Amino acid sequence: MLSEEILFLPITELSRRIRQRQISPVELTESYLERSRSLGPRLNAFATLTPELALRQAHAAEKEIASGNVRGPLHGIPYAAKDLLAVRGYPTGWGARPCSDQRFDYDATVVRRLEDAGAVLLGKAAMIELAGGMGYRYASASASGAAKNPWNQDYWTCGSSSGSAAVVAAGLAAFAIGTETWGSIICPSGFTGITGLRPTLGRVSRYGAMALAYSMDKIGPMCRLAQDCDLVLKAIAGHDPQDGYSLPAPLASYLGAEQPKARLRIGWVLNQWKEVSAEVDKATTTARELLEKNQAVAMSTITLPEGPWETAAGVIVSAEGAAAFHQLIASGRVKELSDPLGKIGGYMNEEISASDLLLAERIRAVLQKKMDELLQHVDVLATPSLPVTASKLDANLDIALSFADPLGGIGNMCGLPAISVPCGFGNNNLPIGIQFVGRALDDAKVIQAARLFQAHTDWHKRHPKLS
Amino acid sequence: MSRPPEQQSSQEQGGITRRSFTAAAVAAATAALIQPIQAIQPVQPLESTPAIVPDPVPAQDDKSAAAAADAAMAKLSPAARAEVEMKLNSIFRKYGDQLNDEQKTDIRKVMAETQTGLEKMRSFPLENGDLPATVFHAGRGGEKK
Repeated sequence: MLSEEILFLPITELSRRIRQRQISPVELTESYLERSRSLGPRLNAFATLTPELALRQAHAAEKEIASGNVRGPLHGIPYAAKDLLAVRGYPTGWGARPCSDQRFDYDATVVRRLEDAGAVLLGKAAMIELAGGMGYRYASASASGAAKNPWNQDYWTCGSSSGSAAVVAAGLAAFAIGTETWGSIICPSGFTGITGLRPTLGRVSRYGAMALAYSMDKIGPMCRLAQDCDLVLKAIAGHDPQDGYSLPAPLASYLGAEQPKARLRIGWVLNQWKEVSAEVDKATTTARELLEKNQAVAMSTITLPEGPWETAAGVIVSAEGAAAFHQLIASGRVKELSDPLGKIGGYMNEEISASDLLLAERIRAVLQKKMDELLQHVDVLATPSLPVTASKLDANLDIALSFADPLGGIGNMCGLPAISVPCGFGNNNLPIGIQFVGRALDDAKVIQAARLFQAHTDWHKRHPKLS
Repeated sequence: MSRPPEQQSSQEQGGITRRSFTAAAVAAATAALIQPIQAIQPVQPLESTPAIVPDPVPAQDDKSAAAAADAAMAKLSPAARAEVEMKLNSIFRKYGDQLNDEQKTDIRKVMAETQTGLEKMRSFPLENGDLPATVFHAGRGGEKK
């Protein structure tokens, strides 16, 4: 079996070693599988492992690479897919007990594109039931149980891509695929000290993915490095006629983040979090100072426009979610969900009026113009990913995480790209992150900002002691 | 840090929590609120992944839950209260037989708390010609998008 040191290497390095025949894709896959079997259950990281598929793909990759046919940097690289992505032949339970036996006879576009790139699917990552689509108050709102933070197992990973974060942070796979409707990539990435990218809406096809909010669901990579996110996004981005929200081909395709040709203009957001904890303030202030001193950065401060953005975003998510899960709600099977709020949330969401939904959609259009204008003055916005470190596993989240998140509402309602990167640690050995948010289609710029930060820090190189 | 975030309800802050956006969607959010553990059933393990049973959480008795719901309703204008009551009637008419008293109280509280945010959203200044950002494209099958 390969050493832990190797299993925590970024994709860029694993790929180099695979191409140079220093690492075998089969051995790498077997090693990750063994680690996942051993540590996965302790962390509640996986819904299902897919060892037969993984070994078949790994052997095929090894054979192809040996014959000189290297498909690209993901060839032979093992990953996990959030359990809301359809994979033929395996259950796709959406993290929810009422759906635990669900199977699809096709692969999600993202899964197919990763297979085309030669990646190896190790398993389906655990998640919050229905990606939080009915609401939830406890980390235990998952058919797999509460996902434990690899840095401190008394604490949560955040959701809804809870298992994807645990998998990457614990070194159970080289990367994972997560999804975000509102916070579900950025929050778990921040809480577990990994690098997670939420791409521009429409850049990555959602075909074969559970729908929560048709106009807000995004699929993105969760990795160790911004550079790894860049590689994965290149593989999964692109127009897909099977997703009605997919951008036209020239806009959907992603060619990668080159080195910036000019100084990166970073706007430090002054009014994102009303309060941040002392530990988060200390780490993110240090991160800000590091960026300010960097000759490649032009730092300024910026203020987000004020308005009922979060409410509008909430109305849209809830109304679309009520439609997406109508059958589950109307049948009463929501009572089979784990969470007390999840059992009743759908009934409340159905009461949102058409008038309020359209009002929210009109506000969204106004906000989109405001944000597009604001983001012409800076390349990216920067702010702490979260104002606190991870919450306890048994915390009531209505209390532990009840803070306003205007940029989360704005960024998700407007489909803006964002990335979270680790920038330190707080009490109880818990990671702290900062996020960069960009203009629509400026995924490359948020990756450039994150990459620049990681070139001057080593937080992303630290790993939890688990074995 | 003058006041930890957990001591401020999202409603105070004019926002909503990410997890409650559904339930509370409509907005302003759920204030600090403890739900009875009885509502959480043991989690059923999926293949290869042992699950945990949630740790105990202090229960809030029925009277205090009802009082919290009443307090949330009392903060609303008569028109807003009437709207919430109308929605509650609609929910209970359709799904009342699937809800216990505790859940009904919970729904009443969350609906009351979210109403304020909804009203703030409705007061946002918009012009008649401000189009909604909905997506629909007229087209014919087989044509490239």
